Amino acid sequence: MDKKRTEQIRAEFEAIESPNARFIDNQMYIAAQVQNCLERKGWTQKKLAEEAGLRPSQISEIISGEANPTLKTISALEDALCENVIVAPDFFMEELEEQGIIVQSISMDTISASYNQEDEVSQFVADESFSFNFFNEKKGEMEVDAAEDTTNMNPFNYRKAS
Amino acid sequence: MNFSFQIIPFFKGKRATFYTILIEGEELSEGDKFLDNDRVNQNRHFADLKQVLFNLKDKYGARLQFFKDEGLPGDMVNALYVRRGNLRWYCLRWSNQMVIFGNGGEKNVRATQDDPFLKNAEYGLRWVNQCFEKAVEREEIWVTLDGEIQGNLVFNKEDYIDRR
Repeated sequence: MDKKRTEQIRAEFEAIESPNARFIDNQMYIAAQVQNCLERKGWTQKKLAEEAGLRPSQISEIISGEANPTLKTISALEDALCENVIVAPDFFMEELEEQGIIVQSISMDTISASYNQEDEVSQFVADESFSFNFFNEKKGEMEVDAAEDTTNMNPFNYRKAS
Repeated sequence: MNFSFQIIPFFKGKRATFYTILIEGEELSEGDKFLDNDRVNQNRHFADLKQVLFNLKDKYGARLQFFKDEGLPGDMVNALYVRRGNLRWYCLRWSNQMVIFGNGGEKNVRATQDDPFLKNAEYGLRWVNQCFEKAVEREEIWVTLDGEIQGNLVFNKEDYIDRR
């Protein structure tokens, strides 16, 4: 094996930067988030398409990270799933506070600083949404009567279950 | 298609570990050949493919949703690709935490079988898949929960040819 050549090839590859990096990050972020929602609900892509009033092929493209969905499409998904698929970090924290959920004791300055670091933002959003989801699911499990349907008690739930 | 090979580390991230295959007698691994192929690295989607790969490695893990299913039903042969692009990077996706990359290239034909180079890349991986599964069955290798392959990573073709 030519170790020197191998190292060179890999170093060159690692150094490549895509001009579409942010777009790809967001495509994958939305795709992963929608897939997580489906798994939590135990829904198929077909079921989501029906609930959101979208074509199954649209859902398939979104979930495989190939789509460039409009805000209208994302909103339809969020309505169907009763969960946020995208979040705005600054307002996301306010929403947490309003719901009485504290994820971690960091100041808004810290959040803004993280937000401004290009490489950090996607990971930040992904990590926070995961923490939020996990926390809220546990909270839901504790608070809701055993008989009550808990399927809508997930983290980004803004259309509360009645 | 039978050959002896070795599984070697490729890229490792927070969410997944990637390996590649070094075929006996070759100077470069299959994954490195893919990266070194001018038709691949001059492709306008190459940088995007790198972004996808690194996002899988560091952020999302090798989720099935981001791969195209290739190969035979029930095997692990998949391909990494980019939206609206014609690059296909064949791989064995074992789990969200571990993938073994092979070779690949530009797909400009409807079926992989119509392109001898791609067919070769895919069929090669089918052989690796076969050997890998046998080695797991025989408990000669195992994959940890964080995607690390342990055991004997050298595969001698004589040990895996089906003589039935």
